[in-house]
Amino acid sequence: MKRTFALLALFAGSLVAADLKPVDEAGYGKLVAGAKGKVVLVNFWATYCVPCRKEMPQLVALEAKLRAKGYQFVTISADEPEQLKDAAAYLDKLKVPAPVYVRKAKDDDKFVAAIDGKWSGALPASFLYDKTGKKVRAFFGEVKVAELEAAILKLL
Amino acid sequence: MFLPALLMAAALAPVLPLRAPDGKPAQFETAGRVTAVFFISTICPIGNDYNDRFSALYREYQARGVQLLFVNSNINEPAGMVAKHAKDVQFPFPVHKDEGAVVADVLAAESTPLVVILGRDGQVAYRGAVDDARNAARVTRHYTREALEAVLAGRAAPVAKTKSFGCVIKRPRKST
Repeated sequence: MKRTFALLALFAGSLVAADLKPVDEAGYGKLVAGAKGKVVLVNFWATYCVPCRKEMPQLVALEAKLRAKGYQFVTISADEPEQLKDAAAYLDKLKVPAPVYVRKAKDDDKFVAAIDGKWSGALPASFLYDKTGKKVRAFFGEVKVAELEAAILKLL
Repeated sequence: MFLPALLMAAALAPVLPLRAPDGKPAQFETAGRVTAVFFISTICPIGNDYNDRFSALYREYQARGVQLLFVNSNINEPAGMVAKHAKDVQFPFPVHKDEGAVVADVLAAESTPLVVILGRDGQVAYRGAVDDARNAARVTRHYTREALEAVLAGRAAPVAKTKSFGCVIKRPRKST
C-alpha cells in the first residue's frame, strides 16, 4: 500500500506542469538582485515565437553544462494567459529548469522599457547579468550559442 | 533610390519604395499627408490576432484621407505567401513587400505588428504598438487611433512611442 502510494505520488509529480510565476517590472528587478553571486541569463520567449523555440534547446543544454560553475538560466514567457498551458507543456517537454516566469505587467510598454531601453519587445531577447547583478550584454533575436558561452565563461 | 538617400530623406518626408502585390515597384510619397505604415507578417500569431483591427483601421481612416500602408518586410515571407495570406484573411487593402527591409530600416521597425505614423511634415508622430493588448477584449489604450486623431487635428500624439512584445522582422543578412 505504502509502495503504491509512493508510486502514485511519483507519477503525479511527473505530471505537474512547469510553475510559471508571474513577474512585473518590480519582480524582475528582484529576481535579478536575488541571483547575485551567479552569472544569469534572462531569456524572453513565447510559444508562438519560432526562433525562440529554435534556440531554447541549445540554451537548456548550455545551462546543464555551466550550472555547476555558477550559471543560472531564467526564462520569462511573453505568452498571453490563454497560452499558458501550452507554455508550461513546452517547458516541461524541454525540461527547462526553474525558475520559469511569465510576464504579467499592467503595461507591456513600461515593462519592456524597464528591462532594456534599447529593446523593442521583439522576441526572442536575452539579457546577461554578471555576478553583481549588472547587465553586461543584451541579445536581440536568436542567440549565437558559442558567442553566448564565451561571454558567460568570461564572467564566471 | 539608394538607402543613404532615403535615410537623408527620412529626416524630412521619406518616399517609401515598396513592391505592389503584382510585383511592380510602388513608391509612396509621404509629404503633405498623414501616413500610417503597418509592419505586419503572415505567420506572426500576434499580428494575426490584429487582422480584424487592421481592416477596421484601414476602412475608417482611409476614408478620412490617411494613407495607410501595410508592409511585409520579412525576408522569409515571399510575395506569393503574402498575397495568399492577404486573400485568405480578406484584407480590404493590398500588402506591399519591403524588399531588403529598406522601409523597415528607414522607419526603425524591429518587430511585427508595429505601426509608424508620419505627420504631414513627414516626421514620425508615433511609433509602436497598434494598441495595448493582443486580446481585443483587453484593450484599454488605442494608441494608433489616439495618434491618428491627434495628428489629423494638428496636434502631437498623446503617446509618441510604445514598446510591445512582437515577432522580430527577419532582415536579409548584411555583408560585413
